Amino acid sequence: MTWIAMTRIAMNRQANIALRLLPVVATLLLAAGCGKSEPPVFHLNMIAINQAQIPVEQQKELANILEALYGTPNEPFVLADTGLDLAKLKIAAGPVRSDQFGREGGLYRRQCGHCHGTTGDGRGPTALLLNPYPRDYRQGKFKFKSTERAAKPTTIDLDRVIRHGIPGTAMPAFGLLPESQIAALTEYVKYLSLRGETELRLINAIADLSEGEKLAATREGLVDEIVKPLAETWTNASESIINPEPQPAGEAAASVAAGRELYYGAKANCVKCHGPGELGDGQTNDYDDWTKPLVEMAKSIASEREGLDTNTDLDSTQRREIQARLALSSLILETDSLPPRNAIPRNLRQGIYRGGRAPVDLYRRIYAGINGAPMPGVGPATPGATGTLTNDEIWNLVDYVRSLPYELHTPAKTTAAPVHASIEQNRF
Amino acid sequence: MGKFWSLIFLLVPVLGVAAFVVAPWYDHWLPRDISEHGHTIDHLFYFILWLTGAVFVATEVVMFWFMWRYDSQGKANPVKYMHGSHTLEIVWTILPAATLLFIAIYQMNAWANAKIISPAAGPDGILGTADDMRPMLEVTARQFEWRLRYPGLKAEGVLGDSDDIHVVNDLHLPVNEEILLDLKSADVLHSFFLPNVRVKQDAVPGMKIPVWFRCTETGSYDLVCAELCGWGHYKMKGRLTVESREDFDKWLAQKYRDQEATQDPQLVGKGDGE
Amino acid sequence: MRKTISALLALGLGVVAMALSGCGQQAAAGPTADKLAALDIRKALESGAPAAEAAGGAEVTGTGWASLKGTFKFAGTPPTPGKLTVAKDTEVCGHGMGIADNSLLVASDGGIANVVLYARAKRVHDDAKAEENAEVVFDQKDCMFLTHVLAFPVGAKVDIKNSDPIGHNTKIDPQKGVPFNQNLPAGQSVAYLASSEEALPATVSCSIHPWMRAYLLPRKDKYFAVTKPDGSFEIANLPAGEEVEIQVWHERASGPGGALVLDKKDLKWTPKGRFKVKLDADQTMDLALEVPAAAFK
Repeated sequence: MTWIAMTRIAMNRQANIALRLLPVVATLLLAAGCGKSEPPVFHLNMIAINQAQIPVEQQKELANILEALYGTPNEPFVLADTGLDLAKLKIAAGPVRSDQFGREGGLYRRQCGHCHGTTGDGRGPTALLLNPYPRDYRQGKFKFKSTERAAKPTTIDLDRVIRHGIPGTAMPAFGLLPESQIAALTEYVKYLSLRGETELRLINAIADLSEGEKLAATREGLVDEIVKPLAETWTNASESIINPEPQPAGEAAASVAAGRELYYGAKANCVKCHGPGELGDGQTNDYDDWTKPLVEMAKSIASEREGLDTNTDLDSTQRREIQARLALSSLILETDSLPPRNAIPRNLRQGIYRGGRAPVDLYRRIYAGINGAPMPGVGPATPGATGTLTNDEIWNLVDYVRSLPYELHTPAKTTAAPVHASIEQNRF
Repeated sequence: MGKFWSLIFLLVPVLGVAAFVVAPWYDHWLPRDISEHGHTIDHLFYFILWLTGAVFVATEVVMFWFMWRYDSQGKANPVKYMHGSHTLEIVWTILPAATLLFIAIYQMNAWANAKIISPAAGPDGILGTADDMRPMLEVTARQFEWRLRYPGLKAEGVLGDSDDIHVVNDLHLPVNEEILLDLKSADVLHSFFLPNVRVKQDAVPGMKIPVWFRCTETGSYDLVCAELCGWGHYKMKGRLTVESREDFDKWLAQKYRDQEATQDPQLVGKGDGE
Repeated sequence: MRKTISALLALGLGVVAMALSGCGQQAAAGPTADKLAALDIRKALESGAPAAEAAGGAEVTGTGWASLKGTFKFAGTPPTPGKLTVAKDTEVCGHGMGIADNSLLVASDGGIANVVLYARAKRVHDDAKAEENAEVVFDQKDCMFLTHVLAFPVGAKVDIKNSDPIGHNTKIDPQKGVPFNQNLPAGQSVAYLASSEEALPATVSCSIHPWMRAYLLPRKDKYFAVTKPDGSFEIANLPAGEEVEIQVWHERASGPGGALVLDKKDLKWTPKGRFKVKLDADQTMDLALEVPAAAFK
């Protein structure tokens, strides 16, 4: 045989061997990925850190303090001062599991984590697909509760949201879960919120430090000044429950008519945002409190970049510094946040009430507004003050809102033609 | 060696039949039937099971026999080829066709009662007349929950006014009464499946589909989604509670009070989810 | 030959696919905690051990009081202000002529208005302490807040007025304090009490008219000043004989959170927008500060 033919045969043999080995090699490569993966970790609020321009060493210190105070997703920890039940947190935290008695654990990761995220930042893997986005607990702001605007929700408020879900959103109703599991989950939500707010306060404290100062990781500095006051806002939440005065007796129709007058009037200003047809189209370019900082951050990066282009005074090192800073801010904004969406006022014609459909729920929404949203309150801003609408007027509005999904034809109350004058019933 | 493999092959029908025999011991059988018409569906299931089971076992045994008898080892005779048998082909086309036609006609009543002859038509049998039955509730399937809407207590059975009672995932029904419900979907395809009542109906977006049945026993049962609807399909579970008329009225009245509350400082969801 | 090439190609693609699937955007996720350091801190917190070392150095306190005044002037030509997008109630808001952007107000003599200065002082003069039952007015007209930046002592009642014929709502979002958002009908007023001191001014906005913007800064003492339209400010009764740190802020400044950063080594100006002065008793220090365009964004 010629030398070429022999080489050809040898190479063919090699090819055969290679082809036979291919599945084995591929399996080994795939298997190399198997085994114990890294445990999940809480990640820092990089947007806030970037806005405050916290240097990296202090970020590390911040991470250490937070882990000291609150532990990790697999091993939660709380000081006794927080008033949280560590036993419940341990059930809710950690990997999804169940013991030989069938008691389940890892509830948060099982039911909530894929939307609300490991850190409770509302950016789990599913979050991007949802409208509205899941709640970010870290600011300690919750929209649908029974308490005054600035107060925290009570345990029962959280329990209610988990049990009944939030209609019109992707938040499901978990009412079929056993009591103990719902209790564990409400505790864990409070835990994540407390951790998030502690982080923000620590970032503020670090930003307040003078040059050369370090954050004192002492009981006074951390626990007495930050953790305890925050924990107290949770334990005292039930002191701020809004208990409406009774609804005045009278004809429902008269109340609805009075509510209608208020809706379109300059006293309550509802029409300005909820629109002349109550479709929620009156003001659609505002943002909620979770999104506004992101929008402003994007705007300021853009305007700084513009300024950099037009500015001739800077030397190249300064320019490079600023560009690097802007590039980092831009990267963090892109990777650490979801695309911003406007806060659209509620379409009152649909009969979908996110915070509950009982009259008392609607009363509370109007009285205190919605924390975190542009919806203002009309009740007293602080106990003892006077609000801008009376108790009776708020009930009139409640009755009007409740009648809206069933109203057959509304003549518009403005001189200008309403946007959707020909809408028939839009019942869902 | 071939005989060994044909014995292994025989394990297929043997283990297959064995699995069906022991399944009820492991509770791997049909769920408990608490409905009035469920038995007709179960009967059809068993009929087809026995028919296909017998055919299955017969064909597998015949196959085994041929594999065993005509194993190539130790056979010196040449193979005999045949050119096909027209008769055989006709026979094994007509027999299954006749069987299928039989099954189709055999099940017509069950299907008609479950899906076509609606109690909504009332005693006169004509839809659209005054004696039509009103739906007891409306079920809206939504990712990933079941939103139920009962007529309000003031409304005398009329759905669709401000009086309606909204409940999520917690379906209560009175026992021994003809139930008619309207099934809708809020977003994508779902399927309203009550295993214990032998009721399954796809919820199609844009359609309002009547579903009817009658429950004969009280208790707590599953309501699940039987049409893949997204990432939460597996957890789209509700609970069906069948109870006496009294208990049902009491429960509904409590739900109505919760919904119309103007004074309760804390609305607790007790009674709708445990 | 062909078999070898296709086999190797398949293998190569497999490896690449495997490698790429592991990659992700592992971008700025921030540092992870050091377990041991965290456990040390936790032990210290649980046992209530006192601080290992006091933060900062020895504090020299002086005696007497002094004043600080000065001006902020824009170096070069200031940018022309744009127009705010006014899309609602245009008959009242801007009277059909639009509203000029008031975020960076530079007078014809270069004076920069609405620069906020406040001191982090360790000694407080009696006259500089927050009074009981103080009242401050915060008004809005023609769909603009009449005071763009208002600094006031914590505890003062801020009387938020609406002098327009249309309704507004006033939404106040402080960094540390509690959020506030009240409906404000035409001609009415609502009281606001700051719950705590702020290091960064709280934003004030209106949800109905989103172009409206103002800032409120509650402080524990009265060591604050907001520059007038000519860029001038004065803070009286500052502690003398010791280093006082003054924070400078402007809503359009490019430092962190709006800190105004100048290149003034003699004042030890830091990248956080702070400078230090040591005043002699009864002295009035006058600072004429030039702010380049690069300090704003």
